[in-house]
Amino acid sequence: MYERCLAASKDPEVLAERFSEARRTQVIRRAMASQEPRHGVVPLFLPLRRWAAIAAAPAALALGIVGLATRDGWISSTSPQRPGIEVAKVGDRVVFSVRNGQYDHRLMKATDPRSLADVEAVRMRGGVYEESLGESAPARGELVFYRIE
Amino acid sequence: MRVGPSNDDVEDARLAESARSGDAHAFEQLLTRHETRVFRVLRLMGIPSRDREDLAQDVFVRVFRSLPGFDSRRPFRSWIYRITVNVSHDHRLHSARRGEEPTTLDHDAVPESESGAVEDRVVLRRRLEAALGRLSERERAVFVLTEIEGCDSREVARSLGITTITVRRHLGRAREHLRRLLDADQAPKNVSSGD
Repeated sequence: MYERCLAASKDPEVLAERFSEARRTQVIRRAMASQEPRHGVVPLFLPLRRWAAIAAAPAALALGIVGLATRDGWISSTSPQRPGIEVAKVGDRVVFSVRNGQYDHRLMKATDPRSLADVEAVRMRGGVYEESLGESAPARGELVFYRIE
Repeated sequence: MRVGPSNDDVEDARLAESARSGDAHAFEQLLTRHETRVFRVLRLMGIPSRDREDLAQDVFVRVFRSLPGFDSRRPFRSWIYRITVNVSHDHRLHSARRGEEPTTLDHDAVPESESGAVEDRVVLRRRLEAALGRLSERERAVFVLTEIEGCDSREVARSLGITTITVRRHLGRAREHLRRLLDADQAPKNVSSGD
């Protein structure tokens, strides 16, 4: 049954919806209208916004680290030892290392920070997580958010 | 394994480049090339027919607005899948906030002129759609992009912003779950036609 249902769902004859002509015109008109402001103020603003987003990424990561450190009790007035997290690009790999040696951690990754909660966590074994950029590199200009718990 | 961009990818990149500079005709061609794909994914992600055209419109308006950030070295298809899945996710969140029931079955009439074989396929497809509604959103997206859309795990990973390992894990679970649900449901079921 599984195979039959799957084969039926792949049949292009069965699933071929398209826009109505009126809607198609509307979509194109709306899309074009959404471009118009870019000829005015936005070209100056867009790069700034992009840079602001890029600048915000380390801040977001730092916030994550602070959250992590606070939860694990690393940062406290009585603790002389500071937590350590390193993110390094080694060849085509990104390596996250958490230096606490005491707890297991879970890492979540998504391009939409709102969906971090839905993403399946990857266990950081030995406080290290490695990722090959070749496998799932983000598109240009796209931010990737990581959360370590 | 993918060795290079296909002719479709090259053509999409060319059209995206033209559309980015404001060419409405190029954008319309992109829309025509990808609209059935967008509708299909929205449908399989559980978007009911009453909302599908609105959301497909939302996808294409987002696509157009985001064209400046599109990396033409990557397949346009992966990129539009990502936007479609995101739009579907946002819709689900909004529906949940409004307290609407999630829709798992969609009803579209089988044209009377069609043969019994087409009708059978429609019924089988509805069964799969009903079973898809029992998966998590992530499993569902991975399954739809891999099994129905024919993407490889790298493309799915890129589209969903997850790792290939996670893709394979979700796919395995989804297949197992669906097989169990559908094979247990061997007895003929009367699926009604609504709209």
